[in-house]
Amino acid sequence: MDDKHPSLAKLKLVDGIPIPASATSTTKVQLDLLLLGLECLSGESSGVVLDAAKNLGVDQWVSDRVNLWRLRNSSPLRRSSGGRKKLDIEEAQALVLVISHLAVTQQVKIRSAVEHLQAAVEAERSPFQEPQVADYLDEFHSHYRSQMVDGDARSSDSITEIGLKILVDLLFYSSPKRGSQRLWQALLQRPEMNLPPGITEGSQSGDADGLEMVESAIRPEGS
Amino acid sequence: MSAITQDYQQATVTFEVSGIAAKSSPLGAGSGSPVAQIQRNLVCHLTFQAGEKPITIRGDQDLLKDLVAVMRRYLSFHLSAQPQGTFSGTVAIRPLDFIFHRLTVRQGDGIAQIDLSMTQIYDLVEGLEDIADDMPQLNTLKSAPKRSATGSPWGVGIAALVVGGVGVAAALTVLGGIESRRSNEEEFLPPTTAVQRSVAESSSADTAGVDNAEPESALSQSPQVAELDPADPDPVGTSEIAALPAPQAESIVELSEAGLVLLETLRQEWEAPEDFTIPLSYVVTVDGEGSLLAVTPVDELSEEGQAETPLATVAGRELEATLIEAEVFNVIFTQEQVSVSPQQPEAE
Repeated sequence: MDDKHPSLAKLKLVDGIPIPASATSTTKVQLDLLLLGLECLSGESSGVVLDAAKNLGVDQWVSDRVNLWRLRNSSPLRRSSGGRKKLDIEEAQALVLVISHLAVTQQVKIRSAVEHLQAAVEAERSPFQEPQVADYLDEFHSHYRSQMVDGDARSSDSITEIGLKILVDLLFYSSPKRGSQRLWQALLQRPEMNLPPGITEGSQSGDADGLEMVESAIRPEGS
Repeated sequence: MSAITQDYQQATVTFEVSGIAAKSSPLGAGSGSPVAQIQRNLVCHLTFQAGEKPITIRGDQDLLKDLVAVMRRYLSFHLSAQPQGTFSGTVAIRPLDFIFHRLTVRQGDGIAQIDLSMTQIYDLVEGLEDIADDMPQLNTLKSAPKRSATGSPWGVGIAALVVGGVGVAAALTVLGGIESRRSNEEEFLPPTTAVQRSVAESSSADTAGVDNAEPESALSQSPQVAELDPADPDPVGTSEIAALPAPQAESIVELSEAGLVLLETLRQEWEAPEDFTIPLSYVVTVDGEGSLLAVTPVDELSEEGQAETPLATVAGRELEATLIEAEVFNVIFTQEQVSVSPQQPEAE
């Protein structure tokens, strides 16, 4: 990674973790879900992603709407079969920078939503009773159901959990100084997920029960 | 030499770092921050602003280093989908649920506990990283002399509080129940005694905050040991349990009610395997009723053997823990018996 493109140089190596040539399934899923979370919070379209990529100097990897659609459809959870399945590591890094950049620009909104979520949890109320969180979750549910391969099979509570975990993670990626490196490190350290039944990719067996690793992020160890 | 003080402000947490700078400090040269010049007498104050009253934690470079290390690790666990409790030195943290977290900090002779939300965790981590960025010399600053030259049992105590917490969050989901939590309210637990305060009482008792807090003298008790076989007060042999304070056989009198409950429970359930030869030792935290909150094996052998002891079967009780009342005991299983003794404070 010594000859890294200057725009990607912000992402540093993480001790003891080799950089793969292409993104893992977990990385592809996470990047797509984080972009989905940002969309659901802001209501903005792919245009802001492309603008961000241009501003960050990574538009050679995230160049236009079709290209972005292909990158996002590399997620094995995507319902569409038209997307390619490989995501080069530079493309993944470009998306990391874009996501953290967008999280920074939406930090006030992200933080406010998390604060309302905390208030709901504190009072033992449903997050859907907090309008700001409810609006986000409604959007997340709608997109997840229509776009993800397990959208029909997954329970409502399960999708809610995924959406809330993404929201909380975005808070930490919204740090102007450290958000992108945090996200990059988390992706490198994240255990590989098991794909939903019937989906195979590379070394994935595809024989486990859905988004296991995404859910495990919501339920602390031991559940 | 000159005194340096610098504040770091986050939305819910403020930090004050102060210390003494050497006259000419090469480590601080060019770093751009005054705190980079600090070479000794470092003092840090962390004040959590949320809630009815601020909560302040005070410590030296060891606390700061532990906080940085623990919070980095904890956040890394969280963001990589492997949430779990962790600890280092004087600091421990564990998840209560997917939003709230319990930070435990050793403060002198007691323990401060603060329940933090995700936004507070964010602010805490950001502030600590800002300080760490400004203080490249932090990890090379010499630690203050410790009060006890021997291994501190409190290192184990902090660990026990973390181990107990990993399981707590396991039963929780976003939409489900929540462990009893005292948001923005800290408890201060002397190491060898039960602090029996209700939440309502604690508000008045804590008016000084954790900062400058001292254990309530009325709660102090002499170390006590209770054993099932008084004729053999030291059945284990201290060479086998070097990490634990040796039981003081001459002071055998009685245990607290919680200790007696723990002892009776373990006695009833302990049956040594036929090939059992080496004693197993644990640091056990219980609530005021003697129910198990956390268990930490003292050594690898004890860890491997825990499944064979009654401590394996009662581990689930920690799910109900609130730590409003807590006592810490040393527990030793031998072929013939179980011994339970209160954790002893550090030597002055």
